[in-house]
Amino acid sequence: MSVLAQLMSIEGISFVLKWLHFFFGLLWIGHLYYFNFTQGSAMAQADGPTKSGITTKLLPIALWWFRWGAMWTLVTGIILLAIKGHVSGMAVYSSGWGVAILIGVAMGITMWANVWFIIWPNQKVIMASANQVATGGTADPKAAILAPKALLASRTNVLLSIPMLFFMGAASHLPLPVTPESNLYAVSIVLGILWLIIEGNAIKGKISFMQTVKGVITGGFVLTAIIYAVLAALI
Amino acid sequence: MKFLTCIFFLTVLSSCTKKANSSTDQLTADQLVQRGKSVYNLNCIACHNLDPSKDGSSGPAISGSSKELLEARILRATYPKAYKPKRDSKQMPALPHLEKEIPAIQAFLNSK
Repeated sequence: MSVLAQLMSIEGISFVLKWLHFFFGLLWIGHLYYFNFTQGSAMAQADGPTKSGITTKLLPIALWWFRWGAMWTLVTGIILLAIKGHVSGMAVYSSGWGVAILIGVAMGITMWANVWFIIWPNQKVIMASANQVATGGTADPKAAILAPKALLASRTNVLLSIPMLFFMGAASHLPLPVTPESNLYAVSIVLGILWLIIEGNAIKGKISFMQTVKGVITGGFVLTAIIYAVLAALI
Repeated sequence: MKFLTCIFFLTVLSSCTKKANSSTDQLTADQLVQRGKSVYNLNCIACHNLDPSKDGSSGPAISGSSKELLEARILRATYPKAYKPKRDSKQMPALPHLEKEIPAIQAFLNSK
């Protein structure tokens, strides 16, 4: 098979999509970590004009790359998942590969939804308010209410990003020991409850241990261990 | 964080009480093939074809595989001596958790 024919085969197209999925994922999660690990700490030390400059000049650009990175990561990921189902059959989703990748997919889609339905709408109000202040107007009181909500969703995305990456990688590189005795229904129920707690907290909860960068990173690794322990107990 | 840590330790403890996988020793020939098919579907079809006589997305056709080949690939991610691999991609990891399932997988792959 020629190199070009290999690239145009279903495996070659899947590889190119996977490459783009990684590219957009890096674009997205790179900005997520920048916002949470770098910009947040810098804003805490910055004076008023610097904060205003970041919010009105830097943030709109960074949020554009951030949210469209999230969108195209989702689009390429869904196409990849559909191709896998088409090539390998629907049974692949209940295989060891399928369980691991779907755990990552559930977290990835949750993170995408947090970007597009919580973080971005709230940030639009925050940036509009900062622009009003920068041009001599008054701050929108809603901005002060929405900022902590955007922060909680953003911190939740950092928390989820750590196990998301683990399980997406594990799908192909750390096979789950699935046997006919594995209780995949119990796995989905336990992890579904865990998801409800985490996402419920992201929508209407408290920031708790995720307030600090150290806390949210540690939480991400602990959450990865919890999910892996659930799988060890039920698979 | 304390809540998450408690859940973690409770889950680790519960995993220690997990029952061992069923043995394939007591199965009839048909049951062995059926079990092999289940194990194959749960562990192999992400790369090999659902029909093991055909090439899969990244793994070759493997129907008719010998016990020696299955043990080498599944337990050690190697090949038997003098065996010529169908592909040189070296993508397949070892799957040592399937050690007890090799007789069932072999029965399924040699059932057609």
